[in-house]
Amino acid sequence: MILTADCVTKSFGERRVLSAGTLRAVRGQVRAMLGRNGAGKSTLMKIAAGWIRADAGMVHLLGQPVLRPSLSGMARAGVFYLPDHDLLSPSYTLERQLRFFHDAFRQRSVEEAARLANVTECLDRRVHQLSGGEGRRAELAAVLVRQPLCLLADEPYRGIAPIDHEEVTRILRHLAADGCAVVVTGHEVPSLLDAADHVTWCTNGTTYELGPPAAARSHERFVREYLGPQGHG
Amino acid sequence: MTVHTIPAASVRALALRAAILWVLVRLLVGAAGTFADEGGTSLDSPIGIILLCCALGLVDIRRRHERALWANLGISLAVIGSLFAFVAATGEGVLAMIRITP
Repeated sequence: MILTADCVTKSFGERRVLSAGTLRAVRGQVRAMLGRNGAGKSTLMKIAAGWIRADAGMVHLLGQPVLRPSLSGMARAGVFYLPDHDLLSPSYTLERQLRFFHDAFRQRSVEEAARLANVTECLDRRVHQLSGGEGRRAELAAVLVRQPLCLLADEPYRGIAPIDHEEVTRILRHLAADGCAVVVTGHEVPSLLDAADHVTWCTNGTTYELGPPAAARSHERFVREYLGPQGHG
Repeated sequence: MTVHTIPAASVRALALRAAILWVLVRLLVGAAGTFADEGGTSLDSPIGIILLCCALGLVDIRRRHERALWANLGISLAVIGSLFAFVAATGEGVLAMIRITP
């Protein structure tokens, strides 16, 4: 287990989003966290990453409690948080930003990461000059340069073409094969279940570990309350 | 676990931005001072300039949607603010030396 956020509660004003949410990131696994809009998936992920503070609950990284998690501190320890938008700056070229990561962490080379993410031809461009799919792959190239212990990716499939879904899945699987613990959220059920080794269902402020995608697809309540009568995926 | 080294390229990029910001703030405060009373503006002090540069630097980070980028590089907002303040303080120091040199 690389990263856990246990028994997390979080309210925004009067509205309680999480009452007992748990996120687990396991080495070499892609774990998909599914749930309806407002179920608290992104909030739980942000808390695990140190991006926002929980009202209660505990974050452990490599078995050690993290008392005051911050994203910069978690990043130095090996966690990478990929937000649903705006990871990369519009002020610099993609290559320069990938070099920032290489300079900071001395992991995979920029050229190799760009090749793996299929963005070699985009290196000299700025983010606003990239298409949606290229932009997502560019962000994943930053993850590949970093080679984190744990990747928390919030909606990596959102707003990109089906062909780019395959690319994103390939990169997530590549990261997991390298030993990275990957957790992803989203609503693109076929792609998420295709990429995932394990499914977590986030609902009513709490989380349920459903197991492998096949078990999730046959989970009656999950199908009834989330996938719907068509059983997408 | 990987070793986190000081990201010199990131610091250089931010320091350049901080230097440009300090020059702009100095020019604006100087221009405002010429139209103000004899006492100058309330910000027309090295401490005021440094604090203004620090605050504007952080606003600029937010405006450029760079919080997640720098945080994932292991650089906190406190460090970024300190960098902007350090560059402004260095500029103010150089300016003071020029002023006292006969």
